[in-house]
Amino acid sequence: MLVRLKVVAQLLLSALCVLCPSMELWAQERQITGVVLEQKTGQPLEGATITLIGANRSVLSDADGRFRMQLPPGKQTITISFVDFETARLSISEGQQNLVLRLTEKSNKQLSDVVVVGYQKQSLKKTTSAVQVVSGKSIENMPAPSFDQLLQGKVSGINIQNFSGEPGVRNTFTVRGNSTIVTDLNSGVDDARTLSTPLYVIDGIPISITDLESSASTGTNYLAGINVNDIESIVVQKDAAATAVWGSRGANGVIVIKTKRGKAGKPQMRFSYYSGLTQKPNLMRTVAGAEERWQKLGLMRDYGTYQNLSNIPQVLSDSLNPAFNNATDWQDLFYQSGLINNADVNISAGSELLNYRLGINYYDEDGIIRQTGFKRYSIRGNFDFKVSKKFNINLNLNATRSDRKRGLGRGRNDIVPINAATMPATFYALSDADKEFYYGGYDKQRDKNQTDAFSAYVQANYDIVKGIQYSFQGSLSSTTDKRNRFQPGEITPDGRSYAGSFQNNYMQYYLANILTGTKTIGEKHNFGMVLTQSFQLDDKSGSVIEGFDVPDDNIQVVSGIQQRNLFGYSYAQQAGLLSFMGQLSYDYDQKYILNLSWRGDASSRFGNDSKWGYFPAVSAAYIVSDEKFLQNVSWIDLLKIRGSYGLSGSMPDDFYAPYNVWDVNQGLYNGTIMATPSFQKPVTLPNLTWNKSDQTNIGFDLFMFKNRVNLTVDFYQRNSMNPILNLPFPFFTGYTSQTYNASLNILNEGIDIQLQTRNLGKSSPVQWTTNLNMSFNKNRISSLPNGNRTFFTNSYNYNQEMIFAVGQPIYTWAQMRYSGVYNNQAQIPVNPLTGQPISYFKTYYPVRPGFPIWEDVNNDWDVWSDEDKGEAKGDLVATGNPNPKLTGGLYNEFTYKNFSFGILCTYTIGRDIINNHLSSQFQNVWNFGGINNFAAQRLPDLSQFNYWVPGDATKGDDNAASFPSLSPYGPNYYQFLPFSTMWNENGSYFKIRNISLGYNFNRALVQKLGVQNIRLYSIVDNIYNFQKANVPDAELVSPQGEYRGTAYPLPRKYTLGFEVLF
Amino acid sequence: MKMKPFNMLPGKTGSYPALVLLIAILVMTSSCRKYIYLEPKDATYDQVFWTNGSNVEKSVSGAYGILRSAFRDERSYFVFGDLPTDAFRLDGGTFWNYQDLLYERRFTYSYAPYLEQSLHNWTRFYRAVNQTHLIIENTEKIDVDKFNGGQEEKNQLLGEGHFLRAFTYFYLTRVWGDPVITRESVKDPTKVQPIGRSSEAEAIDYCIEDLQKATQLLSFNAETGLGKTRADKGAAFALLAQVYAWKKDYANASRYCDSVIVSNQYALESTENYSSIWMGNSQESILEMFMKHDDANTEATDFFFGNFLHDPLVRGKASWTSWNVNAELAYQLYDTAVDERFKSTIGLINTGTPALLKYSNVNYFDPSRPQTYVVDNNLVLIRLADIILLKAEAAFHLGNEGLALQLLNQVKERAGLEEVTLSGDDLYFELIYERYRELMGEGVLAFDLIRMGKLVELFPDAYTQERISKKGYYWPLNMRTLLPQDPLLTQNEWWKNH
Repeated sequence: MLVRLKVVAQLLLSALCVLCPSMELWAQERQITGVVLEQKTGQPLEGATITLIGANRSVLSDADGRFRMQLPPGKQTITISFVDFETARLSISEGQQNLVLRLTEKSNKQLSDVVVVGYQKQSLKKTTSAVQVVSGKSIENMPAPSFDQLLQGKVSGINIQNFSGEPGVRNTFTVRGNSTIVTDLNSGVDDARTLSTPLYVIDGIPISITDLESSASTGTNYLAGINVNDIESIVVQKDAAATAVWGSRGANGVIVIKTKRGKAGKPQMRFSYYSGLTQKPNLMRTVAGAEERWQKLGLMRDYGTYQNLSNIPQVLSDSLNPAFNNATDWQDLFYQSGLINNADVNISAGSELLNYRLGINYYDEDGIIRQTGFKRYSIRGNFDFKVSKKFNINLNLNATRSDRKRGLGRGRNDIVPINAATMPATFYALSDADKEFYYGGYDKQRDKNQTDAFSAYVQANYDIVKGIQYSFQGSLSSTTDKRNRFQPGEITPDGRSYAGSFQNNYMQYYLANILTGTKTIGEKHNFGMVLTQSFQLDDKSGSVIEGFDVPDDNIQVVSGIQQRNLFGYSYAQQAGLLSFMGQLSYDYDQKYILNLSWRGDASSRFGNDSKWGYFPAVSAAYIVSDEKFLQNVSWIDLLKIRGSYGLSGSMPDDFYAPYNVWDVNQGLYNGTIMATPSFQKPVTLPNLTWNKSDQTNIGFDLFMFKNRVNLTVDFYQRNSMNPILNLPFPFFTGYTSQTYNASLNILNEGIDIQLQTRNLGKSSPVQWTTNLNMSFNKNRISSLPNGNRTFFTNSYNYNQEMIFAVGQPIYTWAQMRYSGVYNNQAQIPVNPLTGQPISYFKTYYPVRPGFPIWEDVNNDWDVWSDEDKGEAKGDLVATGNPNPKLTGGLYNEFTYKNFSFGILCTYTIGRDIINNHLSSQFQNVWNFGGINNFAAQRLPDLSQFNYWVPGDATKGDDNAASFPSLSPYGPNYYQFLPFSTMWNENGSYFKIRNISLGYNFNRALVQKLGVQNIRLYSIVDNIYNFQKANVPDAELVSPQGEYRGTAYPLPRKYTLGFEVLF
Repeated sequence: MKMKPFNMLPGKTGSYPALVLLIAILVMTSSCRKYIYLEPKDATYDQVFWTNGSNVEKSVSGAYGILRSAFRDERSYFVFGDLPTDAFRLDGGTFWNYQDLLYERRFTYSYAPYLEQSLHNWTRFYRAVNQTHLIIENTEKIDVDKFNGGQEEKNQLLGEGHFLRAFTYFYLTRVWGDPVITRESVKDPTKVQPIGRSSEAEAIDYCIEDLQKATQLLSFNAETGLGKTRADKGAAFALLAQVYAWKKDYANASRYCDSVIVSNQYALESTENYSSIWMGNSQESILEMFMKHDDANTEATDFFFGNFLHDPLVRGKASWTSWNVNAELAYQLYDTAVDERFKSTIGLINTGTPALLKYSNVNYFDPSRPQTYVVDNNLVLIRLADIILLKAEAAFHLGNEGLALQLLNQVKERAGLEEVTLSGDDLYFELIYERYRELMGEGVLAFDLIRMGKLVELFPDAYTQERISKKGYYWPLNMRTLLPQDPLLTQNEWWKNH
């Protein structure tokens, strides 16, 4: 990209020379004409630069590839360069006048790509760190609101899991493993925040998503405000060499996004549009109507005594009653098919004075659940002003409005208005009012949920002397979140109408001074240096007003509400970050490369005496293939060995982390305000400081067989030390949790493999490229506070326990081990000392046939999740690990003539998941609230379970049941809760993520229509899952591995689109 | 990296860009430096909070508030103070997870599903302890000029700090036995060391030490005008009496009962006004927890006191959703025709599901929500009748049965009953039953029963001598949650195996 910019700049400057007659004398010159064509297709190339060597003179080719140039007398040499093409050099003898120049596409254009590491530009060939570039091209026109989802399966070392398919919400995105621990999963924390998140640098502006989200009331993914089609490239920076230069924020990886800029040449307009369908995927199988009736009655017959059976609930018995003879699929009720539409218009051009690109985008995706969806309107203008030959200015302006409908449910984990676990039986008919509500037809309800983002970025570059450039960067970004709600009394649970208004403003100011220098000493010693000083100020403020009992349903705002029903507050917070940084690079003959960087950060989020943190990094590369002894090995094109080590950090989310603040919002005691230390915000330290991650990376790039097989492998170890975490704190202090640099280490180790192959020879008419990437990660806790003492926390909704122990991955589950059912009395172990059978639940339930087999780990002849003595963890053992061992993707692309065909698969291997949803449905089997409740609630499809019935006790082992008793008449000792491994499943999956098909119309043909190019494309997204797990989609589980049945399913999308280039 | 600057044209280079750069960097660094020293603008914090009397008052108010929520948490105030007396009946469906706490299931406190966080976890009381530590440590440091009420107010607030610390520790000790004792607030959270449990005796001495200070610092509320919802000298005397009685130091207990009685600040409410005691600020009450309704605040709730009420006292609230008075016991205890306490504080007994009426001032404050109510009563923590009975108990132990009988009859007389003449064990048990009649549903009776030492006789199915010797009347701790925080913590002896 930057090479391109440089080229453009050179072009323009040279064009300037051409246009300025006073600069040179043109006497006795001759004119040559020529045409620049693409070698392979013979298509003319517009915008190629033809430069005369030895004179500062160059011209550009026009739309037909033609150019004209004045040449001094005698033999001359010209170069012809064009982005992504090999630069050609040509001697022109006196007589030559008409030239046909053919340029060949760069065989390995990847290596000449420039990446920006920190503030320093490095060519991919010379970079010493583990980075990967994804071009904007490869995610263009994909039907997704934000680019982060589109990187899934494309980059090694990152793990993207979509735990929600809701358009416009953020999913998890971790780089090289998780280093975040959230111990209180029931505090309402967003799932996406329970794993670590990288730093995003968007057009030079560092943006912390977690900071932005900390105040957002819309719950909309900030990244969804960026139009995917505006993106030129995404660089994923993984190791410390790349992340240490972001110092305090780089520990969890850095994603650098550059948006497209104007290119030299006459104005070009591009219009693209796609439209399609979003469709609900397969849901959990349920039985309905008569089938449900038979299954329920079957259970009653299986287990009921004569007396039990005298009471058959009317819902089950009265099958002729129209109120009860329905087959309503409550699950299906909330789903719909929707449309997806995207339109992009952009105009770009470049001259010697100004380059610009304007992009306008409209994106509209209907949710597959009623009353959900995401809309975006965005405008982006990127301008490059050339003030003088030494001075230029870049200006980026962006404005976006995102509008996200949030559904009728109560929240992100509760997307439909009926609890997914306790849906009613299918027998019940839907009333019209119910229908109206569920279908979202309630026009009296109002929910406006809008995010407006605006950003302006300016960069001024000035060449002080040859090789030394000064740049100033300044930016202002503002995000305004607004949510305005109104619910009439008819639809609220307590019958009180509700109005609420939430508003948040997030302003970010950023300034940087950058001094760049390059110097070559002798022929081969190349030095580069960047000195940077930057400052960032984050400013958030907002207000919440809510009230109940709005006087009239026509008043849909907070107005006229009585004092006692009115709640409100506002807040204002600021955080500053001052940084100094130096980067030094040296290479000898582009073969031995050394990079050093050092950064100092001071943040207001730390204590007064502990503000400064320093983050050094060192990295080196050795391009072995440039050595003489490998020059003769023809099959090796590039062999580069890289190594890096460095420190990077992460900042606390809390702007005022070192302050123990007081909570004065708890109301009154006899009229006096109550003030207590805040217990929401855990106890902290005035000298809170940076936590550091040190990361070691060793890798190599091996490009072989004329770049037909390119392999990149990296080994890493990342050690997150003393992170700022919220951990349990001794009760006798009055606090239950702490936030400070906990003496805790988290280790992430792994291997990233990226393999790119061109499977068919250059001459083949069909081209087939394969891109395989694999990310192995092993996550574990390597030390814990309090002398490595293990601790437990509750999972979301208290379903199962999580164990945090040295050597265990983060979020490991602690459960009892389940292994089938005791079929008969003889199988039940008997305590030889007491003669009593083993019991469950603190001796309350002596085991009988039909009970599940739970392992008695502590050998006390009772199995339960806790005991009343000692460590009290009962028979819990570490069981499942929701962190995948291997993730990655496989992408195959075929091109033939004007057709292109791509297929992307993603996979996740070695992950445990829990089917919490099935577990909670089985809870309904036991008639907790009487047999009528059992009849009234939905059950899972029982035909898939070989459950134990009393008759099995006398059967032989061959006909043995494999699942515990399902008696609706008890006993119930929570046997179906996921606190045993009963619902654990293999969460591995291989997913055909999408297939895309494209066709470019013959250029000559469309040019007759006055356009340059027309492309048609079609994409099918989210196609098929290969998985073992008995859940609808093994990807659709929480970061802790739970399928809760309440998540928003991942839709399947079909789109068809076209792109016209004028 | 080879960056080729734009050197195609010759350009003049001057020194001024370098100067601009230098200035820019200098200006930016100095002006930005202040932004890395930012303090919260929308919250108050440790470093700035302890500066004046008004904030100390808020923190004292916070201490009461912490205790109030601690008591309300799962109605634990009544769970601890009343369920172990067998005075209430709980429906097996609604209160299925409370059943093991009842006498029917032998007071098996270890099984309380979904209630572990309130019944087996004392963390919330340590919040109060920490709050009082902070009050005591910081109030001293604030200049007396910073208190609107001068030295008097400063003493008052400091005295309340000492009182509340003692009150909290005494409560903790009576619920769970040996507490973990801290004597100062956390200074450096990184250096918190595990602490083992101290003996009950040490805790009691700590309470006495604090209460002695409180009696010196506090005045009587009649003089300060602070009302019954704030601790005063009388409350400190009363609590000292209770603490000494717990220590079985009856001489001192009696002495401090006297300090309360002879202070002439309190008098028994009249028989007719008996039920007004819980309306708040009665002449009998010594200390109350404020829970009354006011349209502007939300201090009153429905679930806490409403727990004892059902239809028709509360519209449409079914009796099985309430704790109902053990009717059988009520008939045994009360002379139903005469005893004013039966007549005015136990209602609906004819329905079979009698309700406790002490807290029955139901207020439907919002006309637009006919089902929404709060109970507009105060929680009386200590009152004179209790102290009179305590003095009687002390007198009994000190061998003065005559005085004991006289005091007992004083309480009976107010209830409209005839004098009785009893002695020995009969007198002692009558003191217990009188406490039942007088203090049922006030969250204190269970502790009285422990102190009075007749659990085996009263509840033979639940208590054995072994259980008493292993202090099985205290509640177990949730070791799974608490032990990882404090490796030196131990479970109560009896609950290690039950």
